[in-house]
Amino acid sequence: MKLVRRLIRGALDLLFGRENISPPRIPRINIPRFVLQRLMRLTRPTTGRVEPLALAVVRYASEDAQDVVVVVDCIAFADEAYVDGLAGTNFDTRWLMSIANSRAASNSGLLLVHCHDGTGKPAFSAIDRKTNNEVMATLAVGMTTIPYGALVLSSDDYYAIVTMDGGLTPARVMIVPDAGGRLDLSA
Amino acid sequence: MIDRSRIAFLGAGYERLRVAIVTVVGAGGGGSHVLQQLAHLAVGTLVSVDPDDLENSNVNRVVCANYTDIGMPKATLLVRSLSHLGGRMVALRRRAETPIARAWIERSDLVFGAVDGARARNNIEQICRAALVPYIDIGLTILTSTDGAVTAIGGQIVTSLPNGTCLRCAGVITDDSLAEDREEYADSDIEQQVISMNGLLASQAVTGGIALLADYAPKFPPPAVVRYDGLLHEMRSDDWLNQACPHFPLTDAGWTVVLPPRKHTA
Repeated sequence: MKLVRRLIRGALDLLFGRENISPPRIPRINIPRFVLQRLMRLTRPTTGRVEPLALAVVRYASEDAQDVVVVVDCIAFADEAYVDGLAGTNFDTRWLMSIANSRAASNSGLLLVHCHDGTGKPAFSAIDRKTNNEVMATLAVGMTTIPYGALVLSSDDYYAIVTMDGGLTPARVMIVPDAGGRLDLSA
Repeated sequence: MIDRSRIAFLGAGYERLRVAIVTVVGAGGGGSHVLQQLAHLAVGTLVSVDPDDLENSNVNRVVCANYTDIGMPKATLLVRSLSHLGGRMVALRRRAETPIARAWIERSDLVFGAVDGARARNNIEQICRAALVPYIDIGLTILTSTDGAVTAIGGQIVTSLPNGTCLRCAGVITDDSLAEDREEYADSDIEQQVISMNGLLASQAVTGGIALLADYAPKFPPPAVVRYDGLLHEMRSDDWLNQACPHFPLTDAGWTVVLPPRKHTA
């Protein structure tokens, strides 16, 4: 009887091909909705700062899910982290590294976050790409258990890259419904 | 091809359903209803996870099952029955904690759990919380006295979202229930279940899941806990307002256990 069952099961598996199917490994970043809203607030232009920066604190979902990045916190750039420069927003990479080091102790990486004007799918500018490659990708060197990357926001959309297989790769940004809207977090 | 005219109210949310990955752990009385409804909605990818084969005692409540299917894996049976509805379907004859099932859960947009026992619920919720995947748990308990009279019919649907109420907050999982939970569930008394009540809870759970995925009424998210009293014919929602979950702080999500990492230097 057992043999018959096993044969039927094998035939079904063969027919439908649905056993042992692994999920697609498409890089994704899961951001709770209220964390995204906080990031949007932190990167909104102010009178004193045209393009404020923020950091999203991120981890891989698990040891075996290094294509799934979860956003667990966010950090505003400190005033002393900004430095004067020729174009756009310039920051002190030593400040960024000190944050990266302190967060690495809890296996957390960072996404550099900023906001572009307008609506629709945003894209990294040439300066953004240079920063991503020279700073964020460099942070990831030798850090195989920790994700790094960058996220750019518009008023209604987002685009992100994360380190994967030694390089920065575009990732799907998934807005996770959360209880933030139900909870009063201001208390 | 699905006719969208009667679900037009979902608007752009329908597109989100069409590309979503939804995993349903448990393919018994509750899980089979959930899977069937999601298949009818043509959810993009549906994953059915259940390690058990169909038994004679299951047929009265597992939708799509009949007596000729006895001995077949429940997950495979459901996928075989529902695969013609359009979406991609995956059957895993495994427990949720196994690597491949866990991999699907971590990459899902939503996970439903309709399983027996506190330990299994706890494990699924832990995987979901770590990966920031919304988890909807359903459960039904029918208690009878020694003479067979029904003394209580209780059920619950818990929507476990990042930063929100969890199964422990809702009282579904306790230290005692985890300690009492035995792997050999078959050795315990035969658990009473009935298809109509399983279906009621599953329908409410799927409705909450669609609201989350399609986001058609963001100001009215599904309640954190819906409790069902089958004797009073009553379903009641407990929203647990202003109670942040102390068991799964958001900052603990993801892969946290590591060796001391190398330091960045300027």
